[in-house]
This record gives sequence, structure tokens and C-alpha cells, in this order.
Amino acid sequence: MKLDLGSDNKQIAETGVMHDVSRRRFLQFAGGIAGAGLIVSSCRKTPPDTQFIGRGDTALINYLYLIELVLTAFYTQANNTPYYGLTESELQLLADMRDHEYAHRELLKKILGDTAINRVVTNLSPTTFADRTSTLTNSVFLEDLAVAAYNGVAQHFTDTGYVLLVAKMATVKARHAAYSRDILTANTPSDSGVVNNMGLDRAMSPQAVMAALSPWIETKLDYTTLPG
Amino acid sequence: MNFNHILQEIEKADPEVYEKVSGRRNILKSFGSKVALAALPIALGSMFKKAYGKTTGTVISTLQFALELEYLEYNFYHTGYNTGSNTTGSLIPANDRPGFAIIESEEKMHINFLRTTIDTLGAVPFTPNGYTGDPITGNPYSPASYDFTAHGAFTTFSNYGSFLDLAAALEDTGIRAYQGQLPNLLANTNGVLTSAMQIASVEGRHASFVRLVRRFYNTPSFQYGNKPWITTNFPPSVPLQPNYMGEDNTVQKGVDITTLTGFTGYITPAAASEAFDEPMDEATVRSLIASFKL
Repeated sequence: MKLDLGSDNKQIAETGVMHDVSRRRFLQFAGGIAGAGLIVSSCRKTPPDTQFIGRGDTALINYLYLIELVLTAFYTQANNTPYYGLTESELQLLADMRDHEYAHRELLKKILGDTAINRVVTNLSPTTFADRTSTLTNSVFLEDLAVAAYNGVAQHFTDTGYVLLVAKMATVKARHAAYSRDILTANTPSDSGVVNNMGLDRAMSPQAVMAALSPWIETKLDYTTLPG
Repeated sequence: MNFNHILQEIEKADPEVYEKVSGRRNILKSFGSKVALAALPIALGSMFKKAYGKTTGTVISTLQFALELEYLEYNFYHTGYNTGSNTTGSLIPANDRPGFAIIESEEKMHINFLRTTIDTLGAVPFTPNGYTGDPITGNPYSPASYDFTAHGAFTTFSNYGSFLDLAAALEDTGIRAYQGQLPNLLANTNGVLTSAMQIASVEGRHASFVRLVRRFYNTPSFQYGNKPWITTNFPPSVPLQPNYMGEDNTVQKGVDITTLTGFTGYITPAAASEAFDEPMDEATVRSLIASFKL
């Protein structure tokens, strides 16, 4: 869990809950009861540079929106500075994937309206975009992760109208993942790392996905409201 | 309103209705004096929900339908994979065989997973018509159950291009079928909603693989619709058009995707359709697979 309180522990004191607890003690305390409502409410007004992703379905949609922000940033860069050795076919499909991610991102943004997180800064440094293997390996990582995120989030929606929507997007992420896998290593639409021996793709909890995604996001986020 | 008459009609249509709820006497008692007339439709609604709603029965029949589709897919790939030989030339060329082997094995895993889940929920898992194998030992091959040429309409196992076309359509339709069934699984009984999504995304991987093979098998390679994703409602071949009706939808949750801003200008109808797979209802899926069943 990422619980970044920033450097301003006076803000913690303002909540009236922690006023005589040192920051170090607080962090130990927070680590011990991660996800509890008390911490959520304590963090709410705390670090001014930390964005809160909301509660309930809003938090879940903002969480998917975050994933799409990373994916659009990734494919925009991948298209702007394509790797060496890009074929005609790869050029066409790399642009397609970028455009699909834009469609996903902009739809979620539209649904969120005023509740969308903003000013999110992504970090693409895990990728060397001039290098085919680096670009495709990271494409596979992000798409496989997106599949696991969409599969894992569906069960948490209060408004079940979102379930079908995320399912429609999940299978397109799976198409992306298998495509990038296959041009990286032929004949590998999946492997045992993502599809288990029951033939099931991964379904990851939002907290687990956020942990995996954290190297890709610079902005401090309060996502303690997401299911563990 | 003649409430007794309504109950009689229901009784005629479904003699077991009282086993599904809690007996006629109890229904009448609960409606008799306590329920205001205005509340009656709501009370009736909850009674029907109890009897016919998204109960375990619905979950089981949904899983049985999924199992039926997985048997169809497995038998399609198993037959294709074993058509021809090294000496006569196999249907699936050496370069593509490892990928198809993965797909076949994952379809078999889906059969086993669904069988186990249905068994756990207390029902007898579906087996195909004419199945003579032993489901316990796990061999789902059932050659007497299918004709993937649809009585000669397709050259499925004599022409690799035809095989690829049908493979793409079966995978794409499988995805649509799972998505069409999700409304029956929303209660997530035994985690089946999540499981169905986990299976559907594996079918998405399969569809992508098959479509990428097609992309390089066909010429010109990059013609419209020859991508790992479905562009508008473009089919692999004309006779498979019905499998793609509705795939050109661009409206999601009331938002027309083509009114949103993409990387350059508005998102195109092609990208808007590719970015979302579309559900298909059970009756339509059944009508599409009917000609392959014996």
C-alpha cells in the first residue's frame, strides 16, 4: 500500500486524531492497520499535493482511468518515437492500440466528469522506446496487468451496469496483450505466468494492481478506498 | 384484479412453481390482508424473482451453456490440429502449431473448470449429443457430435484459410457469448462472475492469435478487418457475417465514442468499434452454432 503523507506532518495534527503521535509512530501505526477507515479519513485533508481517488464506484472508475492514463502515455510515446525495426504491420497496429487506449481513457473521463482525478504525471522510464524488446516487453506487462485489473474489479461495482462495460474492455486488453506477446515471441498468446492450469487469466485486486503500477505514476495518490 | 386467477395461470404454466417459492398457502397468506393493492406489483415481482430470478439455477444453466461452447471449440481445434500428417502435410503448418496447441489445451482446461464448477453447484455437467467418451477421465473429444463443415458449406479441414476464418469467428463469438451471459452472473455466486471474465479474456487472447495468423496468411496482409481486433462488423468471410452483427456499435454507457477526442481529432468509428467487444445473447449464439452440431 502506498500511503504518502508528504513532509507536512502538521496536517496530520489538524485532524485532531494524531496530535501527540510522531510521524514515525504514525507510519508504523498506519502500516499495521492499512486500509482502515480511520486512516482514510485522516489522510483526506492531509498532504495538499496528494490526490484522493474517491469512494465506491467513483474510486473504481478513477482506478481504471489511472491505468488508461498510463497506457495512453505509453502508446503515445511508443508511436511518437517508434522502436528500430518497426514493420509496416507493427506501425499500423501500434497506432491502433494507442487509439483504443484513448477511447477507453476518454470514456472513463467522461463518465467521471468532475470526479476524475487530474494532473496525473506518469513515469515512462521503465521503457527504452528505441528498443523493440523493451517496448514490447513493457506493452505486454501493461496489457497483462490491465487484463488482470479489469477482471478483478468487475465484482466490486455497486452499479452493476459497469460490469459489462469493463468486460468489453477487458477482452480488448487481452487482444492487445496476446498480440504484443506474439510479435515478441511467436506462438505465445499466453503463458503459465498469466493463464493458470485451469485456463483462467489473472484477476488482481485493485491494491495489488496499484502496487505493480506504482513505478509508472509520479503523482501522489490516496487510493486507500480501493479494495484490497 | 383476480389474484387467484393469476396464480392458477402460473400454476398451469409451471406446476413446480410452489416448490420454487414457499407454497401457495404462504403466498396467499402474505398477500391476503397485509399487502396493500398498490404494493402488489412489487410483492409479485419479488415472488417471481425468488422463483425465476438469478438463482443458482440460472447460474448453472449459464455455466452449462458456456460448457457447451467450450466443447465445441475444443473439438474444433482438436480435429484441426490432428488433420493431415507430416507425410501428407498437416492442415496447420509447423510454424503455427505451437500456438494452436496452447489454445487447444486451454479450451480443455475451460471444460474441466466449468465441469468442476457445475458439479460443485450440485448439477450434472453438460456433455455433447452423441458423446461416447468418459468425462471423468477428462477426454472431451466427441467426433460424433459435430460437423464443422456445416454439411459441406465450409471447407474447414481441407483449407487452412477456411479453418482460420472459422477459428476467428468461433473465438470472437465465444467472447461475445460470455459477455452476453454476465448479467446472469452478477451475484458472483462461487466467484463465477470473475471466473467468466477470466475465461473470456483468455478467449480474447486466442482470438488475437488466430487473427494475427490470418493477417499474414491472407493477401494483401493488411487489408481492412485483418487485425487482432474486430473492425466495425467486418467478418473473416462473408458467410460468417451474422457472427459480427452489432460489433460496429460505438455507443458505450450512453456515450458515443466517436464524439470523444483521440490522439488526432475525434476517435474514428473504426477505432471506437475495435476498442470494445460486444455481447451477444444466448439465442443468437445458439442459432450461429446450430449448423455445426449433429
